[in-house]
Amino acid sequence: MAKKILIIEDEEILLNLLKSKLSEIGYEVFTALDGVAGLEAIKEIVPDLILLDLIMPRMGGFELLEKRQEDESIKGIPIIIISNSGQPVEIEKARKLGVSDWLIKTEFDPKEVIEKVVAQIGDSS
Amino acid sequence: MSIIRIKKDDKIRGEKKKLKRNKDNSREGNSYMRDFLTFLPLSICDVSPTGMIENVNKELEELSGFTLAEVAGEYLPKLFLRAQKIKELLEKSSEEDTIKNQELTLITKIGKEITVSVSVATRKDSDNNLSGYFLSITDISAQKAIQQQTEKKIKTRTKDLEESRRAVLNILEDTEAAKVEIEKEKTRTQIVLNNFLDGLLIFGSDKKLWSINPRAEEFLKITMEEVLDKTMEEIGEITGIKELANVKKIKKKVFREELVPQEKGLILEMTIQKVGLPNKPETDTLVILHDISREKVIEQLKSQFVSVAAHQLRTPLSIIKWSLSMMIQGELGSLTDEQKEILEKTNQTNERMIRLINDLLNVARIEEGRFIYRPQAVDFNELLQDIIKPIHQLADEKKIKLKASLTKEPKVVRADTEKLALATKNLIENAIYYTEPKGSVTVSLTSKDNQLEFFVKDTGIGIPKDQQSRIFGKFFRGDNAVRKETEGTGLGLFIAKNIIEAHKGKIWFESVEGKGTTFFFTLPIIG
Repeated sequence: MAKKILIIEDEEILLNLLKSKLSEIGYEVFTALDGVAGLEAIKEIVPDLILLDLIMPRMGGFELLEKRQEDESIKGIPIIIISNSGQPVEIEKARKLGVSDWLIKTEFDPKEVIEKVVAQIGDSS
Repeated sequence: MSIIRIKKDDKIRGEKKKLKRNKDNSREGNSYMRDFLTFLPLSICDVSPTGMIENVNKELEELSGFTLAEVAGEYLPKLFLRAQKIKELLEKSSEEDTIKNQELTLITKIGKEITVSVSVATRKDSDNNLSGYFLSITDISAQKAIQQQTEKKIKTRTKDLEESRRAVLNILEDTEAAKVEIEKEKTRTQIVLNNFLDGLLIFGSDKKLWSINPRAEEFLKITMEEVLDKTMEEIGEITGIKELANVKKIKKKVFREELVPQEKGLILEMTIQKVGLPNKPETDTLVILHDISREKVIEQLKSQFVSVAAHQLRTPLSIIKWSLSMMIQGELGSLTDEQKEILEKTNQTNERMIRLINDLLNVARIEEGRFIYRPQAVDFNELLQDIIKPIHQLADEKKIKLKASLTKEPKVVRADTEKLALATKNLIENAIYYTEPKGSVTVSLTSKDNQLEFFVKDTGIGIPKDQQSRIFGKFFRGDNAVRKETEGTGLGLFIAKNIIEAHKGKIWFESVEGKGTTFFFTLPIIG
């Protein structure tokens, strides 16, 4: 069974780009456009990996991370932050909330994102 | 009868004898008087009741130059300058018997005028009738001359004294005017000091405070009474300003430092400056406290603005970047060579934009004072090799020979790895950007006295001399750099300098326009 990846990102173009890339190599990809929808999707899908943006409408990435910490059933799911911010204080805060990796969008292209994903959970199968 | 005759004859003889004796006595008396008068060192003149000279003694002959023969029978007034006066004198003396010490002027035979003192006594016969006058004449011209001289001297002295007095009075007047002027000036200075927006403290040559203005009292929360006559160190202790307490360590002529906030919102910049009068160089010390809270707030707002703006700008750029990347890799369908070329150029432009925004973000963080994050032990030697590896490709593209002369030993420093790598990369990439093809760039790492020494030397365009002082400034690019390479934000060296200095290092350069530039930095080694 293909591994499940949930992308929570409000920029639809980026979201779709990532989705098509990851789908292409065999992952089962789910998407959410904000934190509220994202949290629901996590609970429902229980993905193998979450790609999470930070600044989003309704519920931001950090709030979602805090909620995830409170819920034992989803606490252990690895998360990679994909954000346009990247200040050290933010990265430090995210690490404390159990984030495995952090990508600054302008510093990576989709190909490199895929590499990070594979490094985190292995290939799709 | 004969006896009687005899007696009578005897009597006549006796009388004759007596007369002869009397005559002899009189002659003797006259001769005596003459001799005496001749000898007497006083000019004497014998005058008839009508004022005719009857006799003069030797002394008067000498004084007047006339002989007795020449003046005998002449009227007395002839001998004197003012005839009327001597006439009056004689008349007066006939009433009062004697008149003493009257000042007159005697005229000598040769016409010389001599000041004399004249005393007159009347002569009377046995019936108390006026029989003439005695005059004594004393030459007082010498005394008179002395007296006149003395008088003249006194006059001169008096005049001098008068002048001195006037001079002293003038000086006093001037002093008074100067005093008033100084008072006025002092009041004016006091008004300026009291209303000055900066806090001012002035210490004298004895290192003690002699003046503090109300603004300084307000800033430091002290009163003049508390700190007057105290030293800088003592005031440093009282106010808790360690820069003042440690003032002895300051060697600079002008010391400027931002003070740790004394209260919420108040940020002061302190300047300590030695000051002196034109003829008394640098005896006093002036401490100026300038309120920079507002500047700091503005700086922070500006920084926040840049941070937010840069963040917002990154989002569309990342979308462009990812989209272009997918297209270039042919994931959205195959492209013609022309299409691919255009997209690659677009991508390069986008990358440039991303770099600019990254730089802006870094500057904003530098200015917020939260740039260096959690420094840890790093082997700079290893870090440098990692930095150089990808730059080789850039050097090859630009046809520049990149040489690295690195040590084999680890050089461990305490650093925010990411930032230190950024600073080093900026310096090496700059060297390559601003060197013409076939030029060379040399990177070197050595160490000395617990300091690592890094340099990157190029054979590039160099920095024009008149622009060298501004090269580490924000957004500054040399004229020749702008001409050569339109790309570049003018922030790389500013960032590099801030990073190196935040790591307790020093950064500097040597450059000759047209020949090349070498950038150096040092960092303290911890192991």
